[in-house]
Amino acid sequence: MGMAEIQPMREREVGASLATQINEIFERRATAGDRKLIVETYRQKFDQLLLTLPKEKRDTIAIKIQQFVVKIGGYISEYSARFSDFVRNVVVWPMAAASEEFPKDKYYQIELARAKAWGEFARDTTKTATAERMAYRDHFLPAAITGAEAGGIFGAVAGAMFAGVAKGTEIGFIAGGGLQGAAIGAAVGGALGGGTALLMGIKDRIIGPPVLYYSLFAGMGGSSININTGSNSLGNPAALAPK
Amino acid sequence: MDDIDEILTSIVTKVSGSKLSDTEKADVYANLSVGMRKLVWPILLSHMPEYLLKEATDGGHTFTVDDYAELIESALQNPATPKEIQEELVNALREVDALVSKAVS
Repeated sequence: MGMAEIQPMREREVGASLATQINEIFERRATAGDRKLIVETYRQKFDQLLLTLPKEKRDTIAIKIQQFVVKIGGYISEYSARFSDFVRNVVVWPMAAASEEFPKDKYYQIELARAKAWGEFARDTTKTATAERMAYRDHFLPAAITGAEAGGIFGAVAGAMFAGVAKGTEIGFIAGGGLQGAAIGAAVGGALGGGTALLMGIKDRIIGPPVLYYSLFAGMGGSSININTGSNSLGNPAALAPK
Repeated sequence: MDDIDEILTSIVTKVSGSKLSDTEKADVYANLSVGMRKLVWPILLSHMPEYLLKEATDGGHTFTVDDYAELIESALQNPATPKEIQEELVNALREVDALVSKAVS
């Protein structure tokens, strides 16, 4: 085996080992002390419960979620905007996703693709999410990261980021819909988003969807309800919600 | 810049500038994302009143959006909960930052 083959293999080992060790750090802390028992007792049951939320009218659900977001914002207001966003995304997304009646339109599909791709809605963490993550990554990451690291003007916010989603949504669904369409849209949207925010974009990908948005044009009464979990790291809250 | 932002910047800067491939970087970011979520739920669960959790999971009544909201709120109303989540996230990220520093140096 030549040097050219040895070096990539070593880098792969470091990468795999690093990801595994990061997972272990969180796993250990998540089940420290008496949390282990309560997690073992309730988490699975709780996950099942979320999947059994009863059918309700979609506007009712939307309003309830909006009220809930405002409320929990109050409980955690003294912490940073990023922390608040993160906690809201963690607790609100399952609520929206679990409801059968919540409209499964293109905006929902985009959020779902992103959530699945990055494992946040996958119970079995990275293992379950791997295939989707890979599909997602294969579509957008090479263009996004290569562009950004090459310093080109199309250097992307890597992933389906705040700047890209609004524009990417349209393109993605024209491109074919579903996960792949969402990924392509995210990539194109990300590239359109400009190259100055690569690190910020990666951080927001880690944190999760910076804005869980849903623009519900209710149809009944013609009212429009925006559900927004708060501002993203650029302090640009509602502007990203697709119209 | 707050603690979480600062530590994430440090981690992402190191990983981004490392020789890891795009695939490996993506896996590191994904594990960070999944890991942080893993950490929040158990803390929320541990601060939910047990009688509410039991009531919800015993299947005695239909679980609603309001029930879900009530459970989360019951945990977050306790000022110790967001504080604990913040501290745990910061501590875990610091540990990750140290690990990344060592691994990619």
